[in-house]
Amino acid sequence: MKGYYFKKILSSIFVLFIIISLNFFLPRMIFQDPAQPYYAGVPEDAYALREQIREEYGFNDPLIVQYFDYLGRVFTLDFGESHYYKESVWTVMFSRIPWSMVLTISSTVISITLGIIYGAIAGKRREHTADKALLWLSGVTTAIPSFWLALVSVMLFAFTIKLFPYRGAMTAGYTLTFNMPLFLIAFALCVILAIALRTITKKSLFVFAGIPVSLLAGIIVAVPPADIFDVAYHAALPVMISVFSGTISYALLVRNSMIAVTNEDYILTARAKGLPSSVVLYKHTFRNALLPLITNVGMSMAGLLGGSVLMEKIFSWPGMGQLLLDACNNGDYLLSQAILLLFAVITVVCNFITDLVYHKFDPRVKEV
Amino acid sequence: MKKIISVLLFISLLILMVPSCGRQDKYAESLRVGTTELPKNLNPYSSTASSSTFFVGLFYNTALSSNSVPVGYETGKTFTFPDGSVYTPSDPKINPLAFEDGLLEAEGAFPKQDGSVYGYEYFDPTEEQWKAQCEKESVIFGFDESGNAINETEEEFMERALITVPNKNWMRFRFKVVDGHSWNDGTPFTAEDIKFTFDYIVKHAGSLGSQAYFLTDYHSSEVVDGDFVFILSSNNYTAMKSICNSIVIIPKHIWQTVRNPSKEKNLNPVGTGAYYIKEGDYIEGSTITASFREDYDEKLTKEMFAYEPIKNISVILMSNEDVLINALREGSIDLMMDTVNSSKAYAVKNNSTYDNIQISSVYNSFVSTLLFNVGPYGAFKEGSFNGYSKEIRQAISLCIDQQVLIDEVLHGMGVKVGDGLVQDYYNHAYVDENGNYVYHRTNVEEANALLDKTSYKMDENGSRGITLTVFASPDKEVTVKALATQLKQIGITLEYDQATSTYSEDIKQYNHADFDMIINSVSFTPEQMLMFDARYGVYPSGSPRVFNYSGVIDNDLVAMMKTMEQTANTEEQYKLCREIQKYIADMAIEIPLFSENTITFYSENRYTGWTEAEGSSIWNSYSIRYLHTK
Repeated sequence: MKGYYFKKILSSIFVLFIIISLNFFLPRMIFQDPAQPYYAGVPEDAYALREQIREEYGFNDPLIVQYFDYLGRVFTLDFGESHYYKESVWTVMFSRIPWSMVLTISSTVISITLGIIYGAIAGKRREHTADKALLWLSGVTTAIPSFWLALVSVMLFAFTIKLFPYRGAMTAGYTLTFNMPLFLIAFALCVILAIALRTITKKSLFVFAGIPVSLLAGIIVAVPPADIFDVAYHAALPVMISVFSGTISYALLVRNSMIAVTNEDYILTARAKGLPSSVVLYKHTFRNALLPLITNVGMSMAGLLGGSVLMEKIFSWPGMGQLLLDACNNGDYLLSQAILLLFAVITVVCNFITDLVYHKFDPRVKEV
Repeated sequence: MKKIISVLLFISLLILMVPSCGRQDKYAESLRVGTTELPKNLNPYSSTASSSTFFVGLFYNTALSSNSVPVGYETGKTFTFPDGSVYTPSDPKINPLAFEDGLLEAEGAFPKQDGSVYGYEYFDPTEEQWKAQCEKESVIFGFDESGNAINETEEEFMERALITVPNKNWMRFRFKVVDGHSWNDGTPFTAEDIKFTFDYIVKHAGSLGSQAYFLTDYHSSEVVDGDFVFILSSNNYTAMKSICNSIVIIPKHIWQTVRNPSKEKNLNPVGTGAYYIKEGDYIEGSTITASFREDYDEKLTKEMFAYEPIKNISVILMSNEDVLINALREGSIDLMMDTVNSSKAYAVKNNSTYDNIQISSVYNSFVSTLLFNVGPYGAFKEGSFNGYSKEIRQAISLCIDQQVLIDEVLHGMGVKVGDGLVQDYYNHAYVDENGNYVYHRTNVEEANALLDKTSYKMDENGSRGITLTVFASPDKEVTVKALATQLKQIGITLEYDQATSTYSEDIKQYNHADFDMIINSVSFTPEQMLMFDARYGVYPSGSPRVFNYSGVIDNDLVAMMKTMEQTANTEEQYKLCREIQKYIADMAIEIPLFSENTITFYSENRYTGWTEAEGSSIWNSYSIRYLHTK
């Protein structure tokens, strides 16, 4: 058992090392002169000025020296300063992460919930209207690119019937008010309450639900209601578009899994035992059918921060996807490297956690 | 039925309720400008993005300014602005570069009049002054075109410095500071701020390179009795124009403590402009709102605005261009800051849904050209094509029909340009002996006749066996294909070679550029006549300059350009410039294709008074002056 974890950790570290190295070398293969973005308007024949800049940013050092310097900075979590934003890379990234999470967490949670419900219904009632509609919709979502759907939705819901706003995370001219001390107090109180309830009731539900509920409570207390409504109003359309394709995707997964599980011997045994059909369905079929969903959700966790680049671009949403796009367009080397590295770390970590969770939920993995 | 009614009621309720979740825009009444990119900082020297330039113009001033001609003005006739005032062009004899007052009175930019202390005069520098300037110049010219340090002996250095820094006939300018200007934090503006700005940029040349480059010919300045006096280490009047017209002046009391100007975000800019940013009005990644200064000088306000100044100007981020256009159509914004290409303008123009979008399409100083590689590694190098390189270039030139290209590539939104590469509305443009502008000439028969005299005869398939490639970025592919169709008429096959991200390096002669032709873009406005040397000149070492993509090395041309640059008399300078244009046209190394218009979209739903100015987008000093609510 310990060996399994050890191997997983080792392979994750190896993957991370490869990613960190690629992160250094790839941009240097794309741009002829890595110092180019730093010249920012310096005339091409002002060689001495350019030389001075190269020297200042260490581009004149041998590549291997630059690489080890980069590794040193990665391990000390020093990503430097974004030359475009003129701020520390960490500051820039942290100002965008919450906005991406607003879109992606809400759309993922809604998609998973709706997807499970719809998938369960479709799986249970094969060849009925709901099932047929699901198969048809999955064809539609596969065929229609999400950015096209987003553009059409903007035209329809924002410009034609003016139901939703077409840009930004808040109404123009407003910024989010966030009271950090209040947030921390509310968060801490909720966590304490969850621990107390877990201790009293011995139910693991309070462990799983404790953190997200505490976060939510903290946000509700720390952000004025007008700001919450404003953000929710602006997030509605992009979230709905993401939810549409997400729900269909998760529903299809659950539906297929349900069908596969229904044919298993243990379901036949359960039925033969004379268990009520609702127990067979929800306790035996449904719970086992959810296993592939764990992998799928785990894999999509990295997307939580990455967001949808195109969606953020269309809705001018100030998230990480838009930030990455801007960083690449403006040759903001240090920022794009840090964002990609963050995505990679999250992916590796999420994969690792998924493996562990799967390992816990499916005893067959242990045997393997 | 009940279910349907319930669903309909629910949807109606949703439609009524959902929009009430949002709130009223703080600056709903402001002039609303949409952009696909908001500046991440408001440092006046750090970005060339259009949105940054937009804000710099609102917050800061330059030492002098110049206004362009309103669109529709015809020489010799009157032009009436929306408020009834009449446009009067500046007299090129007394105001050759069309200067207007900025922070300094324009009078100081002209030769000193009898009895006046303002204006410029020539003088020979002292040995110390000349040596100091040589030392400054060596910072820039101490490296060769590959960026390697030049190891020179003292004699060699002196020889090179003698070429780059003239040791006689320098210029000294004296200006009076315009009354009424102040910094938006209440601090009075003085000539000391201008002196500080120039010296500060020179001191931080490493991080403010693009600005420092303007100051190559700047020697020093001083404040005398409150006036600004500065010395130009040459008699290059256009260098003075760049210095006074391009560098925005920053406050000494703010920036003297800034040790690294390139890292300054400057989110609350302190400037002398009519607008400023209130606390909380810079919202990163969303909106930036500039407000009119309540303390702005009354006299300056009257000079700058014909009507009540617009109180607030909000620039709103809309990352997607199509969303931006629809926001304009729908009335959410009044102006699209970003310029659009002719295809998009054509689509909007021919779609009745977008009828309430106004399109401003005015000329641009840039000219698209077909440039031949005559450098040592290029297809058109000396002796290539069996010695008929020039004849082939001339034939290609004769075959090009600019109007067809303008119609096919630009949907008519462009203008024709003469072989001198300077547009017809400029006073220094190449004209014939009768004073008429010389347009590009198209004559396919003549082109074929010229080629028939070479060893490249037309075969029965209409081919002369010449296949050439045009190395160009993907957005130029349509242009190349249109050119290919035209060149078929003279039996030359043209192929498109898609440029990669290393394009700009690949076409530099010091990288052994081996392309046949490229689609290039050049601009030779009166202020940019230095660009002739940049485009066709050579370094003291004799190799082509970095922007001399054609790789032409012609000592006679170099001498002509040097003489032109050092001629202070504008009329004489223009005459020399015309000779240079004719010389370049005769060499047939760069053929003009067209000049694409600057296209901007705006709306007249809420604001009126938009005025087009030649060479500018619809957001120009005239629009700022005449814009008012309907």
